[in-house]
Amino acid sequence: MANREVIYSTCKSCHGGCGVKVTKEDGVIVHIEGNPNSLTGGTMCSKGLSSIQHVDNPYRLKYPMKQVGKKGTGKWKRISWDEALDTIEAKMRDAIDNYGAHTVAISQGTGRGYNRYTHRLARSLGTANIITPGYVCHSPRLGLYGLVTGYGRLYCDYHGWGGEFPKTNIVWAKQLEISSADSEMCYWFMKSLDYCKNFIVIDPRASAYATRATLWIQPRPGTDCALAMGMMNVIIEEELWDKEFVDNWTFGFDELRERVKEFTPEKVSEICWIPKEQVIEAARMWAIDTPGCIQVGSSLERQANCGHTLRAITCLMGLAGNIERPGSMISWVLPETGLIEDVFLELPYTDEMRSHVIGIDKYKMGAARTCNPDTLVKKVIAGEAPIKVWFSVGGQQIVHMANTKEVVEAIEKVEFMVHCDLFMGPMCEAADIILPAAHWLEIDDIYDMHPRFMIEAHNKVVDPPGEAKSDHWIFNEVGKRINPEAWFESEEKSLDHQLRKGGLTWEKFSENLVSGCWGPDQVYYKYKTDYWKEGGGFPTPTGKFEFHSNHLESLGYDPLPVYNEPGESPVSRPDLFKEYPIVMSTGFRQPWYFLSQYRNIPWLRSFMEFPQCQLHPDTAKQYGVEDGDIIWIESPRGKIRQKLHVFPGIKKGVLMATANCFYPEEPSEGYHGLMISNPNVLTSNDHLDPMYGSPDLTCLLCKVYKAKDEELTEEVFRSEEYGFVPPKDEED
Amino acid sequence: MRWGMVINLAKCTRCHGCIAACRIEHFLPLRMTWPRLIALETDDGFSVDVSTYPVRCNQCKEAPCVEVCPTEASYKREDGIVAIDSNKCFGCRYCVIACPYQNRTYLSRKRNPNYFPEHAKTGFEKKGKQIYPHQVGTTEKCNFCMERIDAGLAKGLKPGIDREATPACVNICQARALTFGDLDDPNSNVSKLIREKNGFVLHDEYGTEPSVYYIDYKLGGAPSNKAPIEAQTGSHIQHLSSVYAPSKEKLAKKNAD
Amino acid sequence: MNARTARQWMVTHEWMIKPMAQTEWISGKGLLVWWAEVFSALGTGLYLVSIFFALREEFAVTAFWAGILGWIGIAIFKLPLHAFYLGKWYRFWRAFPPFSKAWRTSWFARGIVMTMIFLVFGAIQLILQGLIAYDVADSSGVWAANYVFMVLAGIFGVMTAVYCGFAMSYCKSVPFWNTGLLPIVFLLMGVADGLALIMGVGMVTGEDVIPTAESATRILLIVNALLIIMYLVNANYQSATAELSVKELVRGRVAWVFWLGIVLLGIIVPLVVSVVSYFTGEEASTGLLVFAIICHTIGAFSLKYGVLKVGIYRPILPKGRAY
Ligand SMILES: Nc1nc2c(c(=O)[nH]1)N[C@H]1C(S)=C(S)[C@@H](COP(=O)(O)OP(=O)(O)OC[C@H]3O[C@@H](n4cnc5c(=O)[nH]c(N)nc54)[C@H](O)[C@@H]3O)O[C@H]1N2
Ligand SMILES: Nc1nc2c(c(=O)[nH]1)N[C@H]1C(S)=C(S)[C@@H](COP(=O)(O)OP(=O)(O)OC[C@H]3O[C@@H](n4cnc5c(=O)[nH]c(N)nc54)[C@H](O)[C@@H]3O)O[C@H]1N2
Ligand code: SF4
Ligand code: SF4
Ligand code: SF4
Ligand code: SF4
Ligand code: SF4
Ligand SMILES: [Mo]
Repeated sequence: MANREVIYSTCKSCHGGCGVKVTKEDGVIVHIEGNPNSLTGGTMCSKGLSSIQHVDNPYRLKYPMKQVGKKGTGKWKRISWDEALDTIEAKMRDAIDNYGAHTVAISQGTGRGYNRYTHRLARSLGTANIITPGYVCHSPRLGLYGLVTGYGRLYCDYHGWGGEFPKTNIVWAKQLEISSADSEMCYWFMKSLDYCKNFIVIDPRASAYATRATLWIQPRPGTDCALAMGMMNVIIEEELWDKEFVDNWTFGFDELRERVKEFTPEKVSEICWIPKEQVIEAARMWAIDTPGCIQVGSSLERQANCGHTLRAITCLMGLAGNIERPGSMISWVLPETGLIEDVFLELPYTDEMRSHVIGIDKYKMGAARTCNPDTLVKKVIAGEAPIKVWFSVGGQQIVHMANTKEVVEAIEKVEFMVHCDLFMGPMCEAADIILPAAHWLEIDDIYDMHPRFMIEAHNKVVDPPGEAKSDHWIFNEVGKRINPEAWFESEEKSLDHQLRKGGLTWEKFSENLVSGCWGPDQVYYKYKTDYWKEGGGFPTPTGKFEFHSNHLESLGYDPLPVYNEPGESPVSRPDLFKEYPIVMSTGFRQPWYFLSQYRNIPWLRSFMEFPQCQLHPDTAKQYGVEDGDIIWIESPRGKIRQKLHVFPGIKKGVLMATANCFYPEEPSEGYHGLMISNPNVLTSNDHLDPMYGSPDLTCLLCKVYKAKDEELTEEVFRSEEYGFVPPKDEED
Repeated sequence: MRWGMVINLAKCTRCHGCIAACRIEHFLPLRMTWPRLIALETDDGFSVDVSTYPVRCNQCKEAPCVEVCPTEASYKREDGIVAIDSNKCFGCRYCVIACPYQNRTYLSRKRNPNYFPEHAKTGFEKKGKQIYPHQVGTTEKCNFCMERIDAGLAKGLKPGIDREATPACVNICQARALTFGDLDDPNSNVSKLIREKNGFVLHDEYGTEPSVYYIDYKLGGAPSNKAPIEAQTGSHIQHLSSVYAPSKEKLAKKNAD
Repeated sequence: MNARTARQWMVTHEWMIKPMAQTEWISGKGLLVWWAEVFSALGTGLYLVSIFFALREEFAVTAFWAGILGWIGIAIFKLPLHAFYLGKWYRFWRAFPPFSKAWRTSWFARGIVMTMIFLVFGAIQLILQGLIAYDVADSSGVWAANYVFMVLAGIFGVMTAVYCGFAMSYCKSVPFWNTGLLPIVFLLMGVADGLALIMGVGMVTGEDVIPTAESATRILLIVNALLIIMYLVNANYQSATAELSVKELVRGRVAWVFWLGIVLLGIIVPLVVSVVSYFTGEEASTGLLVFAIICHTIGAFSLKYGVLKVGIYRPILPKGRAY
């Protein structure tokens, strides 16, 4: 009789969080489904389910390897873990001793549950030159929420724990229903819609729910700040704001009132290319039908006006009093295990470290605890930033940063680079040493990305292939070699340490699966209690919700939100607009891919073989391209090819390109087809947000034309075999 | 008893989770897909409609596929499920063509390479060959996860209510766009949905009487945003381990509101 | 659209928003179905014509050999081709009673049963016909028996000839086929094919079947031409998908099969040959006749190919464009 075993764990095939139930038979995973006894009710998406094709995937990295040819030529030799770690230690010591710890850069990709280790490693080495995509992903919103409310982690209360669900739901530049867990799990959001009166989607492109929303606004990409200002204008003009909240708990209302005066619906209509009635309607719904939530998407953070845009949106929340009440924006009470970031916060962030952060002189909000990656690229190219060692875990900076050509140039200049990953890819090819990482089904760890009211356990289900190791182990081993005091005897000891505040050990927690604070135990209206401040108030310098920020002012920024045109828009660059007549946005997550990942997973690749871009039928017609064509998209910085999906749901004159793509099947030379379809070949790193240093990735200019058949010479266009999709005439 | 499914077009996000779940549940060959998603993106000049129709075998009451099958490999069960006995099917593909919903797929050799065509079978595939063998040269389709239903019923569970007796795709759907239950019972979850939300079937005019219904409506417009008591008390999640109980001190801080 | 983009369209979430042609019965191994159907038409057509000629004693030998050829077409070509097409050919017996009662609803099962019965009755009839043709036993009893089996085999022959048409016309999924005209078209075209072929047999046996065959062909070809026009016009108005099939057939990628194969070679050439001989009062030359027979046979192949190839499924979305 086959030996069956059921193991419960937590998925992190995206930012993670769904509870999973895995069945093993004779040591082989034969089934994955959601864990019904979890906060996601046993539901999952295609990415998490397809993990089955990760664990036994022949393309997995199995051993540490070193590059024996020129970077980017794919000549690798297997080495032992000792050799790998010895080499890394030697290179790091050399850099620290001879050039200073800041010449070691630590990088990661988007949050995959190991963020805290990245930061702990950096601090334990004495560097704060941490490279993360946070500044185009999630950090600006946390920073701005923090600035305005004093508490950075504001979430949408989709749970009804306080007795009410949001009456008005705004989804702003976000596809929560498929991108999940960037803050809230989509499952909670979608359930809460059953109780929602007004459902507003603000997106130039129809997301899954847009055409069923109460109101769908399609602004010109990059103009969201103006829309937020316009909504505030209407709320103030029509006296719809929450008087009780604004009078008692906010700071700087009169100045804000002055500031938004000029943003009349007419003016906003002109800037955003939308009917003015929509501005008025949205404002009324938001201010009258409270409580409400705004789910902010990272498309707003991938803009060089992200600071002010998010500030404006946060002010909008305050105007309607949609802070800390049931069914509005809330900061959750932490689980008893505390803040997971404590694992790195407990190590000091010294002035010495701070003084060497690249970009800190300019991007004072963003480059506070991590460096500004685009400045780093520019400086490395100019020979000004002496990065001696770049230790990279699980991020494809080479793919995901703006202006790929420059990024490649900079990365190739780095003297010694280590990359830790599950699969071969562009970042691996650029490294000197690669370390094989374990999949989440192969590790014991604590998961905590978002939200802040719980932590969950990853329980190891199967062994990693070959000599692959968990990221945790790798961080711990590397850390220990340089700074033994700051690291742990074993992974388990480290986990125990992280759980100690909850009076838990890893062993116990691993069984419990989750520790959280929810239901009636959550606390609403914290500012009316002593929660943050004796006698009530917000944990800000003024103790109020700050429409006006003295802190920003002291850093040299405008204390109130300002609307700025994107760096490259029909308005700011009418000259360029003549040659590049289409407004381009990139991003546009696909439910079955996670950023650049999973094109090597057959089940997922079968859903979309080539990255797609979208154009409105009229726009496509205007520029002579057709549905299904492989087209060139060209900007002043370069050109790429994607497959055209003619889509009536996108704003006319706007192109939406899938971001973060390379082709695993393409050869090492050329970094696995890095330049074929990746829209960052088109994006610019010259125009950055003054606060966060975020580049414009979602509002640029481009032109399109059909690719000729003879231009499609790469493997991906020729190969029948890699296409997991059955050929049309498929019968045998 | 007639098992049926109601698919909520307002909620489906085109996430493809149901497809992945079905592939796992039935160890589907690489290029075999039972349920499918159809993108409908139209602009009639007044409004744009972006929808996704999850389709799978409709388990028709008057099933053309059963009628045309020369071997009786396709058959209808008492509970309305249309199934294929792959030990009887000889792969004539008449049903593939005759199904007006194009829900049947012939498993040719080309549809059945290894998951990584240039590599050996993965462990999952090898296990699949024992647990849920597929026969190249026969026709396949969604069977409403009848294995789950049968096993669940044998344990006294209720399909559509108890997870173990409910189709895999229904369980997995994050949007909760799929509902499963007994169409013959006027008080079942599915019958109610069909009644209250004007359920419709695809190509009613064929007279096939599908057991898969669709509902569609605008999101929003809810009459009340009050949370039901179970959401407020969190009773539906109180079984979760290690629920944090705030200290007395913190509770005291909690707003008296 | 090149192969690459065509493949792309098969991605699941784009599946079937557009009308798509069926491929099971015409692409790859599906070509066997086409051939089987052609042999089905030629075989039954020839056999049916043969029994018609068998009524006249002077054509007994021709009728015998034509019948044999027709029978062989079914037994040696059509049936095995069908069987080889099956994913699991060795399970072919599952379609027969008593293993299956599917004949009650399935035109396929019915067809196979009828084909088998036809083959049995046909074989008996052909033995009797052989006895008569070669004067082995020319008693009235044999004649009577031959008549009986002619009727029996004829009935099942007709059924064998029409069942493919019924099998296809049963499919609501493919509106172009979903019409009662299809079996009639297939039957009559098969008979016309049989008439052409029997002339070839006549040339070998030396019996003077040609004038009779020619005059029947003339009428039949004109009827068939009208029938096909009617079929296409009807399809054109029946539904948008069927209209698309018609377009594909007369103007699309298979237009050359339609105009060259079906219209020119299958109808016009044989018609011209027979009409010319009608007006000149002389029999067409052997060369010309052979040419006409070959053309006609190509026409038979083309007809089945064209009809199978443009079988387009009706898309399954109700709200989509009105296909
Ligand atoms: N399945 C899946 N889930 C993911 C990811 C993934 O790759 N795949 N990535 C994860 C990561 S790292 C992140 S940061 C999040 C991101 O998740 P989202 O924030 O949802 O990201 P996008 O889908 O790129 O963009 C959301 C929407 O913004 C719209 N948009 C683009 N430009 C503008 C604009 O200028 N204004 C407005 N109002 N809207 C605009 C797009 O049309 C799109 O529908 O998702 C996470 N979750
Ligand atoms: N033009 C444009 N550019 C963008 C964006 C955009 O929308 N448009 N989005 C931006 C955003 S928001 C983000 S977050 C970034 C995302 O960028 P990244 O986070 O860099 O995402 P990926 O490119 O997918 O790289 C992830 C890598 O990590 C590996 N990996 C996955 N899980 C693990 C793990 O557990 N351990 C280890 N060691 N490795 C792992 C994967 O195999 C893959 O190689 O891209 C940014 N760049
Ligand atoms: S949403 Fe994320 S955590 Fe949930 S199943 Fe999908 S990939 Fe896994
Ligand atoms: S799992 Fe649910 S939401 Fe996702 S595609 Fe299937 S039916 Fe739609
Ligand atoms: S949908 Fe097709 S396969 Fe399913 S029962 Fe109906 S006719 Fe048969
Ligand atoms: S393919 Fe199989 S199930 Fe379909 S009709 Fe033929 S024998 Fe029946
Ligand atoms: S009901 Fe079962 S067999 Fe049918 S699509 Fe869903 S998971 Fe697949
Ligand atoms: Mo991100």
